[in-house]
Amino acid sequence: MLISHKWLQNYFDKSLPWAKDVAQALADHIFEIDEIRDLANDQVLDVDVQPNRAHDCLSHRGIARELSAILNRSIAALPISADLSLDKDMTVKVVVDDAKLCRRYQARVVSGVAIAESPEWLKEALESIDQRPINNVVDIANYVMFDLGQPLHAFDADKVVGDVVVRLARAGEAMTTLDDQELTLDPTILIIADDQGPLGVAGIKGGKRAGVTQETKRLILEAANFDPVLTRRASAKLTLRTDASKRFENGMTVTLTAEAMDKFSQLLQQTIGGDIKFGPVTDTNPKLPTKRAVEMESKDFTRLLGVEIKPETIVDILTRLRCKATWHEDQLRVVVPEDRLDLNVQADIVEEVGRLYGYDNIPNELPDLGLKTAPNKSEQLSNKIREVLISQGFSEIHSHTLVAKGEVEIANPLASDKNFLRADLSTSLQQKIAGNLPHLLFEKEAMKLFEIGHVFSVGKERINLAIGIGWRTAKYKQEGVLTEIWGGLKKSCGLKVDVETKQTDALEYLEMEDLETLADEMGGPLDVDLTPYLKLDVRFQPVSLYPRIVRDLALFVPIDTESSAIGTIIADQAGELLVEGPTLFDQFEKEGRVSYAFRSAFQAVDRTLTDDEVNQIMDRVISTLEQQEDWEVRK
Amino acid sequence: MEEIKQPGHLHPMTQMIHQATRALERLGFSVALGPEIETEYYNFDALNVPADHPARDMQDTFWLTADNKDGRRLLRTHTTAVDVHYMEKNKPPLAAVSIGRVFRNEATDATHEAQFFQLDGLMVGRDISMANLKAVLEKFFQELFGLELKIRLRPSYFPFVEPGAELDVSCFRCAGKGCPLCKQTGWIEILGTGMLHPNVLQAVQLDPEVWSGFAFGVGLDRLVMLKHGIGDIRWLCSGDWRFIKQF
Repeated sequence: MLISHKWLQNYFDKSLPWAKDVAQALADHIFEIDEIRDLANDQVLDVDVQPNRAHDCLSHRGIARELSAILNRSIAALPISADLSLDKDMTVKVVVDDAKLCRRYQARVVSGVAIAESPEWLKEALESIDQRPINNVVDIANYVMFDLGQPLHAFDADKVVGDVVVRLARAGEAMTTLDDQELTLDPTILIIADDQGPLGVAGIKGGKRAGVTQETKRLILEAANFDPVLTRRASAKLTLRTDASKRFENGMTVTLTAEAMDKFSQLLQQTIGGDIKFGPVTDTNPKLPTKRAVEMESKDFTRLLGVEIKPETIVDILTRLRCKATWHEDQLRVVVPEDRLDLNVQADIVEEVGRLYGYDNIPNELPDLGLKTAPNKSEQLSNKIREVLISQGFSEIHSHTLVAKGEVEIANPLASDKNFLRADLSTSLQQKIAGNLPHLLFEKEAMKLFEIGHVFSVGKERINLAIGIGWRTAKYKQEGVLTEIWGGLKKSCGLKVDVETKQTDALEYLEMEDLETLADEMGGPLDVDLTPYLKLDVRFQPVSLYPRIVRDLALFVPIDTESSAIGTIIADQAGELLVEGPTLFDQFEKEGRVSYAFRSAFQAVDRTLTDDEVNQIMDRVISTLEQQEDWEVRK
Repeated sequence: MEEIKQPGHLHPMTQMIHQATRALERLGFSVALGPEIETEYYNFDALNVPADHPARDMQDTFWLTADNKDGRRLLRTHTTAVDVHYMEKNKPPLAAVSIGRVFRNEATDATHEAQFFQLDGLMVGRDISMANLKAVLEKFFQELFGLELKIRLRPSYFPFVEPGAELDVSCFRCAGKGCPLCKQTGWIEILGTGMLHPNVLQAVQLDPEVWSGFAFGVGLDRLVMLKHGIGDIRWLCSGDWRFIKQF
């Protein structure tokens, strides 16, 4: 929620700290701040209000109350309405069909209204939090919502026919919203209606028929409390999320309607003045909620926080949060403010004390539970398989669970080609092998991959293993590689089952089903060591999307020359465009000398390399190699 | 030509999972695994996220088409669901780590995938406190990222914990001095944690007056990306050789 620093200041006598410090105070003790915006003469904080506090902190007063507790500064009370011009004969009748769905509805008639542009201060306040000013009445309703958190509405009283009724919509009823959307309603949706039908969708959006226009002279003001679940469902059904619905679906105290109605009225009187007159407030539920209290002991704090906090500190913190906290020996009674709907059990109170006390002030203390860890056989088997396969040159991939074909379907998929859960691993494994073959440096080289992961069929979820090996063409294919690999796995992992290998032209793969059952059947614990394959310090090098150029180079050198020494020279001279190799791929001895052949690949991250560029690099490499005594590059 | 047998490559996510698991094992945590398809009960209700509660919006959920007798089924949105199974089957004191794939129905981009890996840790005992939580998590991250690392807690909200907190670690790139990785703050936001909510303990028949505990959940994809400087999350599930062979 956007919070204006200037607006917040209204709640405090003394100047608040700079926005940056306000942001830090809030972040340390309650909410994260996503952003601080600098305006011409204000600063605006984007406060990340969490769902547990949306019922009281989606408002400037809510944030001000938190700041007051954190900074230990008193907060200004709302002015009491004394100066309204009243007309006790202007009444409005409200009928609430079901008090469970609308816990309170306050309404009053206002006459002598002149719709006009809002005063500067009001426009500026709304604009600072990204709200577009519309006219004085709508702007004041919005201002009070962002100030106190209570959504409000104003109807054109002259367009309302008969009583104001709060009821569920009838099948087939429809309504045009203030912004000209056509809504189809049904009996799960709560509406405000008059004799002629819907006037607004409760807590979500006003209707056009009795909307405020330039000609409006008389208003019916609404301050109500609608059922959170009903509002949430209706908002989802109508795909209409508004600032009002967001607040109602989190619930709020019923006492808020009275404060908001008061402030709404006062601001109308101040802003419009003239002949404006206010009727008495019709109130469907003037009863105040009963006070809630949490009873606890001092050990409740120590037990959960792990630090002993002095009883007077606890009282001080809770008092700053507007609670009434009193100790009777070791028993603490905490009467919570009625607007704090989130404070119900002891842990809630512990959190309040903990977050204001400061989590930094809690010491670190390692627990001593004397726990013995039990090895997980399924995890062990998976890791042993990884160890064996990687030692045999196979690499592990992870692929997507959400795919285009399968047996188990998603009701609300992200995309039409991601609407099923994968039924096997080998389908994608084969695709990955084929797709990766061109990335290998040598034509004869095989791509060897495996994956371990969850697969799904109707009524069954299991962990599978797929292993595959593929070549560029059938002529390079070696038969029986996987049979041998599986034999090795069986031995290393103590497995007894066999699995069929499947063949395509240039590819061989297998899929072993249900590792968890296999792990259960396996003998004693396995000795697993993955450490040789951990590359924890690797910095990932971005992969170029441009084509690479491959070059071979062969040379004769004296028989005692190490091939690695040649590789180092090539790599040094080749420079940063060298992306793979030099890889030794051939060697033979002849007439007291040895011939080595290396393959290298060149590629730029930002462009397609030309042959000329690579030729220049190779010339540099060759001339450096030939400077060595008795080294001869074969041409 | 004689073929030289080069070892293959272990996926960097598996490396992270392995390191994290071993570090937590040394702190007394046992490995727990659970299904990726969950019931609404284990993923939400037992974790104090009732139907129609706005907290459900914190995790956009993939639902399955066919319901079964246990109610609506979904793709788990967090491995915290495994905690509930584990507490049902094991008596406290206990500590468990569950790592696996989780799913969120969110548009994908360079930093978001609809599927990612989550590590969830759980410890329950008599008088387990936030002081214990802080010590365990500091030790865990020191083992992962270096002994000089520091942690801090900030208040936050997750329905299954109370008090709830967000944990930051001092930046492991610049050691807290400020750098682009930590946006000059010296801190990196890492995970959500807190003391198990009494409703969660009650859901698994544990008396909150006797037992207390903490849970923490961390998305591992982001950790892998931070650790290796991977700019795009989509590499992790690409199966692309040019990615895999670097590890």
